Amino acid sequence: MKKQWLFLMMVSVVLLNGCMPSRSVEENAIVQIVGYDVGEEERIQGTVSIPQYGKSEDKQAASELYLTVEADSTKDVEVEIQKQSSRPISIGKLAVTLYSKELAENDLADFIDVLSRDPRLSRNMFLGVVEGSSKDLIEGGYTQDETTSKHLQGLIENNTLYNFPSTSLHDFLYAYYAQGMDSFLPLLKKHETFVELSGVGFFKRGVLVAEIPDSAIFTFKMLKENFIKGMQEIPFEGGVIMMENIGSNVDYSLSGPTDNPQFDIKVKLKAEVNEMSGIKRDASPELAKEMEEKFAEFFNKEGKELISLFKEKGVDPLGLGNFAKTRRGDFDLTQWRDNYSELEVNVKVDVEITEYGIFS
Amino acid sequence: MNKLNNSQGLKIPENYLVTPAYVFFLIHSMQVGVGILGFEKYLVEKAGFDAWVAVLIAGGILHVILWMIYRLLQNGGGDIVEIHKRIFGKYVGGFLSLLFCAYFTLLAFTVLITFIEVIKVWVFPGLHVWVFTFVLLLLVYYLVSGGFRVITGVCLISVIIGLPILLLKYFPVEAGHTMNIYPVISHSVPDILAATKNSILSFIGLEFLLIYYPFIKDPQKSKKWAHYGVFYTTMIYLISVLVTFVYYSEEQLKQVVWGTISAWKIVEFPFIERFEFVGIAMWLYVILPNICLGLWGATRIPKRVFKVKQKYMVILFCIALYFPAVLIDGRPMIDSVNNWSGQLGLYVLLYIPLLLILKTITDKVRKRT
Amino acid sequence: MWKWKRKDKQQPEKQQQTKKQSGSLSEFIQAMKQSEDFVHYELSGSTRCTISYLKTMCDSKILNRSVLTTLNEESLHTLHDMQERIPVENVRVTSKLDLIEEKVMFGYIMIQRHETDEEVVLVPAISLESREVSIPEVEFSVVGPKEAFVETLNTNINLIRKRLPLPQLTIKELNVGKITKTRVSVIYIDGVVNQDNVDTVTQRLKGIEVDQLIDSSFVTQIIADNSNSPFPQLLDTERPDRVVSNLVEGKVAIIVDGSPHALTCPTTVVEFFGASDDYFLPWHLATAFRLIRLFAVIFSVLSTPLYVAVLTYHHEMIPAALMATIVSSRSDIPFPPILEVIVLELTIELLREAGARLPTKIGQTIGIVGGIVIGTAAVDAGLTSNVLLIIVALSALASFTTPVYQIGNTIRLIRFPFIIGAQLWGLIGISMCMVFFIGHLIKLQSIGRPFFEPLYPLRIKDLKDAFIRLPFNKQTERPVLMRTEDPQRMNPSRVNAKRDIDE
Repeated sequence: MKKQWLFLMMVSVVLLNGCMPSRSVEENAIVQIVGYDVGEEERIQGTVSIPQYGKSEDKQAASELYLTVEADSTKDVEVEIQKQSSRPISIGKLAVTLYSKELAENDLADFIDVLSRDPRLSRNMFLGVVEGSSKDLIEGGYTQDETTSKHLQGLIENNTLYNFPSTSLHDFLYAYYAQGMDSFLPLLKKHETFVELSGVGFFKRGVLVAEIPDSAIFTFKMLKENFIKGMQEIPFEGGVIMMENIGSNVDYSLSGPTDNPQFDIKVKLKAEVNEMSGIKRDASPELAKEMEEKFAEFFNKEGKELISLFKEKGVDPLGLGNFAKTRRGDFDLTQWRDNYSELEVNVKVDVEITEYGIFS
Repeated sequence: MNKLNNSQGLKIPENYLVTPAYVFFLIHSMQVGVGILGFEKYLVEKAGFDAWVAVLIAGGILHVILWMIYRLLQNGGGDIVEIHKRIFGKYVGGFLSLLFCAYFTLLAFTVLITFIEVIKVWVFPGLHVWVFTFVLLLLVYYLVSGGFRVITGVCLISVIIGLPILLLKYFPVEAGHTMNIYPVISHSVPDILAATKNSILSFIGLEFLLIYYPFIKDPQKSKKWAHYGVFYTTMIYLISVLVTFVYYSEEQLKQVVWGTISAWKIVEFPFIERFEFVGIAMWLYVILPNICLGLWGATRIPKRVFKVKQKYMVILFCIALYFPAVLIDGRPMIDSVNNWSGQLGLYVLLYIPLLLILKTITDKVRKRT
Repeated sequence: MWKWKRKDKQQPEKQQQTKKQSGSLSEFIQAMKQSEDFVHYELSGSTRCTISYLKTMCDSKILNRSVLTTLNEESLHTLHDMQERIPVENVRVTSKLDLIEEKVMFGYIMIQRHETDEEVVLVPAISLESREVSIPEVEFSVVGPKEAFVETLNTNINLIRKRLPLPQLTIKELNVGKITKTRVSVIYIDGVVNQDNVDTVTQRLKGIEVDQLIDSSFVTQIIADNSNSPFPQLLDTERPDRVVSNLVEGKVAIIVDGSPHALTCPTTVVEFFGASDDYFLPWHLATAFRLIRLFAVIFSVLSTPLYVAVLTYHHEMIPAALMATIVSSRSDIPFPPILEVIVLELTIELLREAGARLPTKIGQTIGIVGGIVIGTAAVDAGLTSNVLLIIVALSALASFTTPVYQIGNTIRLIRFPFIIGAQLWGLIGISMCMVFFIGHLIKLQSIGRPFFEPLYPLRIKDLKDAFIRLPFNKQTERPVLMRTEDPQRMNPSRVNAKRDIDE
């Protein structure tokens, strides 16, 4: 009998004391976007967007709540926002974090440290740099989607399938911490009713040092990774050809001594041409041949330009140093950095046009 | 081979024995514990991305040690307690056995507190440790009180449930940079050996064979299963190491405390995201055999040495584990406990060849007289 | 502890009974005369004798046509003459009081030469009222045999024997129950069964100390290895075909008089999820259905706890697309998820309980009223969320897919500890609960054989008919679990003989 009482007592103690302080999902203010701007007096300005889900009938998040605070640090932003919110802030579902260009050109190191430390954050989160104020971009209100978070998430996610190289918090941190590799982030620009992915910004450690426009993204992605989609506009004999990528393969190889290595980047691109505007010639094997050569020339030139930009700014988003490190046992980082601007990198793009659409 | 030794061995009733094949699960599930969630960091610190070689070397060393353990037990007349008694006599032998008991307890304790820390860091920062530990130990007591067969069952279930977790490795590989792995070894031999030492720390657990050996039916037949077990563990560790190397950059990995859990974060299904919660919850199945077998081994030694009832010993040890587990807090402290138990484990592994030599000598001497 | 007390209490009772048995026959008759239906009179035809019987238990046809006619027409002077002359089977002469008492109570006619004689003739004239053999209602199957056991032991044995016409089919009978003296049969096939199993079962049945044994479920609970477990450790079935196939596998069956359910043992937890339908369908279909059933059970146990865990602690796990659905359906609900779940789960249990107690026709109405009216009303009133209503209804439905009724009850109840675990520590709490139940299942035994069998101890051979069912030609051996004396079912070489094309 005594045993049973003891057991009962134990159970009730466990039940009464064991429960974690908890809030059900709908009672949380689920932050989906955070944007940081430069605030007054060395402080930062944080803006969050919290979706307000509709009641029973309409199942979609009808509106968003925007809160803006001035704070000293990232964590402080959370604290300050809590002061303005009726519900506890939950940052577990944070999908997009934005930094204004001004902030990024300054230094993002402190922010990145928090990002890599907090266990609540998703590693699939997107980061982005905003041309202008991130507050304005978040509060923009876009017609395509119900909420800004959905819009931005969809925008970046969709574009990584096409021209934009894959990006996420994890990719960023990987390059940020890696030796001989630098990170990059998408540049976002606010327009009246939509947000545009306007280019790529390159970081040296936590500082934004270089950027390329929208038109060069394809070449960058081509040099960076293998992919099977994406389009590039290429001038050809006074007209313009839309080249559709159906399979691009990149291969790095390293030759020469370690103190003076030579890189060869070989790209094999299979393409499809569907649209030729302003070109007065009929599609023929000869034309295809000419196009292939022209395209290769175009990409070689573009690639060279990109590489020289990287060398000039001293950034290595392609991870050439990282590559050299895995291939060469006696890799020395400081030596590599010193020699980077004189590094010899050959880009060789090989284009093969295989299809002309369903009409020939 | 020796009549004298076989005559007075430890006999366990038939219905408490397990078949040789279970040694595979016993060895494997004891080796894999909390270590696998974050051991890559310690390897990379020493040998960078060449650490996978260290894992293979460590696996090889363990095969040798396993062979030694079997040699030791072959005609040792039962378990470690019996061997100690025969070599060192009743008192010194008993004392040495008690050291083993302390070591086993420490192992169980390390796993317990590390798991609680994982929960505190990743899931519930405000966990009421004293309630949680209490319930967890209650569960452990329930399982241990079922005896060795039940613990073997828990080991088996843990291996089966651990299999789907392995499949999750696909996600980081897909997101990773396969060019990180390249069979060029740039680190010096001492570096790799240091990494080997570090990886052995997460491989410890097969020395429990010393205590549960009498519970195996046809123990000599279990040899191959034990070796399979060690091999399987080595492979799993190798896969884990390679996957984290693909997923993280070298410098990044040095700063990531729980590499595997961080990698679970990217697992996404249409109906579920953020798999680390599920992973940690499932990890309970993986660590429970560690704690249960640790506690069982630890309490069996006093039973064998002092002839006390194991039932009471289990309760006593649970209480003994409970208070330190509740009081210990913070990463540095837990890290140092992990280090101690790792060091101790290393000494235990070094002690086994020594014991084998001593045993061979005493056997020879006895034969002559 | 209280087992020992109970034994202590029964000691004097036993003594009393032995005392009663040592009384004389006339005392017995005196005691019986208290009842109105006891007939006791002297016959004064050609044979002079005293005849007594219970008129409610005797078949008047036998009494009138065989017994009375013979006694009146012939002049019989000894009991042995009577035994020979009365044209009824198995007439016996005895003076054993306890036998007489027992037989008379079952409807035998007792004939004495004189009222004071201790030796009597017993004529069996039992009239048994029993239900017709009908179709199985609990374990219904679309194809396959449609016979179910009834409450009469003899009929039930008849149903088994006609499917197993072989001399090795052995039936041992015992009487269990201090007052009810219920007939309990232990059935097995000699030469197939492991004698240890039979011994364990008979020993446990003999050891039962109980005053009344109303149903076979009493036996399940009393002789179970762990009577505190929520899991039934003997499989009960109302299908003779299932019992027969179990017997052939080498199991032992127990049939209790007055109960339309037979018990088979040793059993495993997996067996509770196998339906007899599985054997009537092609093996791949059967396997698919079994897996669906297994999934249903897992879903039934885990869905609501997962709901509680995810919504209370781990909302990061909900994908963004689902988030809107869940949050907006939860947004009006004033209760935390745990309360919502417990209320709804209890409502479903309530409906089931009410439906089970009422006659079938009203029961159906209750089901519809409960399901539709209460469900929609609760959602409209903002007391529960739509999402949860779907989950709870599905999990209730899933719990009814278990082919054995007993395990269905277990499934429905063990989800409550899981829900509490989920509220305590989210997914980790569920995990801990699961570990407890797995540990419990590993510990459990069914008459000394492991209950969690094909999983632990891991027996690959028995897995052929556990979660999947392989075709019959792959199952040439009896399950290892039973440790049968004759493990070979059929000749595997002949079953699996390979033939070439066009041969």
